[in-house]
Amino acid sequence: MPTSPVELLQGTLEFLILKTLSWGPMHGFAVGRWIRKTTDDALEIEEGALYPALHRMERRGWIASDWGVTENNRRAKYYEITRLGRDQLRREESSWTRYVAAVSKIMAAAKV
Amino acid sequence: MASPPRGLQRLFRLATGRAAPLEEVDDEIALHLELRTEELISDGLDPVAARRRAAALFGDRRAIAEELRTIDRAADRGRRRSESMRRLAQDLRVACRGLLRQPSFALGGISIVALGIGAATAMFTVLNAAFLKPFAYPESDRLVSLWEISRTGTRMPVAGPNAIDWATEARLFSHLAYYGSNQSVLGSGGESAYIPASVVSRPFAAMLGVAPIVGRWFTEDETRVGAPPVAVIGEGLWTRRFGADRDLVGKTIRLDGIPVTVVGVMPKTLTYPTWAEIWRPAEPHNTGDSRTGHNWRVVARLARGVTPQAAQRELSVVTRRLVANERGGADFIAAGALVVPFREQLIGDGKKVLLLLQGAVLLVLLIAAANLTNLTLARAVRRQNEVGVCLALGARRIDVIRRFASENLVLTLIGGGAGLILAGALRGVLATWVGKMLPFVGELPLDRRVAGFALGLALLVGLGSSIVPAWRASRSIAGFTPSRGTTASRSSRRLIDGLMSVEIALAVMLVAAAGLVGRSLFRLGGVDPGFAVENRMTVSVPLRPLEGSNTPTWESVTLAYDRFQEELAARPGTISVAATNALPLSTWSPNGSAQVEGTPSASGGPPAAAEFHIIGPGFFRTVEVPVRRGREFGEADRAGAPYVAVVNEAFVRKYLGDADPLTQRVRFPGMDSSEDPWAAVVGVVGDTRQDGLAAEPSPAIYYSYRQRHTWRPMTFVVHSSQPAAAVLDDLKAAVARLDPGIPFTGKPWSVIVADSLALPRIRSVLLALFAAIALVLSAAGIAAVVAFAVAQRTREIGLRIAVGAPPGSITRDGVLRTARPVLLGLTAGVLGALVLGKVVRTLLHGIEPNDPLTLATAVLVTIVVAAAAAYVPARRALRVDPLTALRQE
Repeated sequence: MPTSPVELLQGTLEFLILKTLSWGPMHGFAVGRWIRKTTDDALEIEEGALYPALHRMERRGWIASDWGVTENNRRAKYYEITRLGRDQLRREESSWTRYVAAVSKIMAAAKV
Repeated sequence: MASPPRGLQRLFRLATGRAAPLEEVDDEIALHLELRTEELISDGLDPVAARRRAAALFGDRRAIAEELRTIDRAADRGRRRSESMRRLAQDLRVACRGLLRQPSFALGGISIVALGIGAATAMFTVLNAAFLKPFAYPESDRLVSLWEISRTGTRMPVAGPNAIDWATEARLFSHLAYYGSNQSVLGSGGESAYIPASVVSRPFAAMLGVAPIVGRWFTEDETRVGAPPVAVIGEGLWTRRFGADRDLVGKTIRLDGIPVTVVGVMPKTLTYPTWAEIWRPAEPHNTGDSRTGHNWRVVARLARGVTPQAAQRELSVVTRRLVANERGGADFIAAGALVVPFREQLIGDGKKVLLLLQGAVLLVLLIAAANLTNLTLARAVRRQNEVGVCLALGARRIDVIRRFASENLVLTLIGGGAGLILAGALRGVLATWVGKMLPFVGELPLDRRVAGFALGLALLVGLGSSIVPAWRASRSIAGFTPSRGTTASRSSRRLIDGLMSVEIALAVMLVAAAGLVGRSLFRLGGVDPGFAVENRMTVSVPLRPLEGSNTPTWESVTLAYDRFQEELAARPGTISVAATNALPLSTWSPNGSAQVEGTPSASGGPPAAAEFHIIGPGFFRTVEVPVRRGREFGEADRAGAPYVAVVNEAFVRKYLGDADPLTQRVRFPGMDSSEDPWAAVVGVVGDTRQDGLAAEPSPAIYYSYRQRHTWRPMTFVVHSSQPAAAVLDDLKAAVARLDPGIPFTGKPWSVIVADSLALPRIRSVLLALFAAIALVLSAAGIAAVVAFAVAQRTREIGLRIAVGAPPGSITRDGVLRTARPVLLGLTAGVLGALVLGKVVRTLLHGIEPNDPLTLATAVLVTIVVAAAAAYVPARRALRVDPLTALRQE
């Protein structure tokens, strides 16, 4: 059953990008496609917004970039997660899990 | 291409990180749109619709591209910054390692720099406090001092009526106040004390922008003649004396023997004028109508946006109109006004001394810098091999220069830090001196400006001392490694010798200047003041008719002085005792326009400017001033007896010419409210120095206190055969019997005279200190150069010892090695000292700036120090073991 996409929480996009890149280096389009496919389009992300997030994260040192060539021989900018980025991802994963658990408990207890 | 591994980057110091060209952003977005369009086509859309859909899904392409560029640019900046920080840190690390390998160079350099910067910074704390530290008053740059300028161009305090008219007529000031300062006696009995006090006109507080912290300032009514007396006191006095009791306001305290109501307390920040702690209304005292009696100081606040020059033009016009109808001496009638910025006024003559000393200490620093440059040059010669290898391996010149500069910067920064600590320690000595010269300055803070000054000097010396040596070192041709001790060092040696000459020259200059100032102080101490101070105790006794109902008369005050004198004269051991209102070398004498009967000065011509003294009988005998003609005042010269005066020889020379002085009559109008009839000159006495040992004696007229009254306290001088302490005890008891409310201020006169030399003495001590530092630094410089030369020629010396050269010849060679540069430096130093002598001329007394003896002594002292400094390392050459020396290569 198709539902309308949910808006992304503040800061979550970066978390998703880190998680995505933890599978291996990808260019920007591939990152977006991966998120779309994995969530079955459940999240509403303006595709353009992905890039400022990528560049900001690179500036923070969470990811590094380099130009490479796609399988179809196109020049593309590939992003790769750094050690700093992995640390960050671990931190966000654990806080996200705790967050979700806490919210779920409330939801389970609530009378609708 | 993949970038080289991190380790390699660090090893060769290659730049890491790459600046992304900003077009990459467009490529990245274009690829995304392309790929997205393809995906949509494969989902079944036609190409046109797919492209449109892809663009829509992406969002505002231009805005996003712009955002990406902004982020990338910021990232680039950050990368560059951290890269340069990293390089700096690495440079410093390498520099520290290099210095640790040669601790003697490091320690020597640091000590030299610490001495130089320490002295310069200590002196700067004084300049900082005097010239830069802000005043406690708001917008203090608008505060100015106002003066009258006489027709002969001298600066004069302001006549009472002029001060009042200035306030109403001059439009360019927002506030204008006049004041006079004195010492008031606070309290009575054993608890009385002199407190610096002043009478100020009502706008004073508003002019400075200071408001009372308790109570209020004077009201208009309280400034009228005959109003009940009121006072505002300072926070310090309020806390000290009255336990900060808020209820003090409205109560009365005893000031100069009368009850005065305290109406307010001013904050600690108000210390003007001259640390006053009591302010009373001046208006009731400013009743004089003389526009030539210059009794008031005036300070004002310029209206916003008005320059001192504009205010001065306006005020001069007003002043000329006010005095247009005055008659009298050109010395005393205003021809205009002078507007002086407050700070300039407070610093006054001190400016010259301060700048001179700062200049001297910067010369010391220059020696230190030359010294460090020489050490670096010598080190550069020693490191030729190392530098050559670096250049051969592809290091750029800039890398070599960076290496040298960073080592010296580490040295000078550490040295500068040590110098700052040294300056902090020296501040105590300086503060005493500054307190005497510029009382307004107060503390000498070690603030940001002082720290900045020290840091600036450290950077300057660090860079200055390393650029030239580094430049020369980096000139070694890449690939060519000169062997040790070759002639490649010859040009460096010339430079080293040149810098040594500079050091010697500066040292000679400073030693000569210190010598001149020191000898002038010695001369000053030997000046005959014209009177005898040994075994003379002095005590000030302020008696005056008091305001209020039970007013003692002048007659009763005179009687009290007479009795006091009789009592002291009757003490065992007293040889003689007498009073004066202006103790020489202690109190300024009032002066004014006297007239001599039958000369132009009595008929509107130029007046006979003279000091105005009021003394008691027997004064000249007591202080051993010779009576050249006639007699001095005696018991018979009382009220009602013929009105008489005594003049000094300077007065006779200047105004009486060849006439017999004892047939002349003089008048001294405008000094007080006395009737001032003609007084017959009954005696001529020797000249005395009144305002300091360096000031030539001025013409003076003396009156007896029994015939002419004075508002100033009389000071009694007691010549006694008893020990000083016993006489002072006697005096103290006598003063307490006379009036227990008078605070005791007795002192040996010799102490007062010595105090009058305190300023020149400290000035001289400071210069001597700087000269000593200069000598030490120069000596260290010479020693280092000789040691270097010896080290350079170890092989040659070893050879000579091996073939049996006598030890003396080797030492002699080492010492002679310095002879040429030292001689050159001495010559330049003498020339420099002649120039410097002209600059210090105003500080000199009884000695010419080109005094040959002083110059010769300075040269001799420097030669001895230079020879000693060269001898020590030269002797070390003897200890060279021939075998080791020859094997070195």
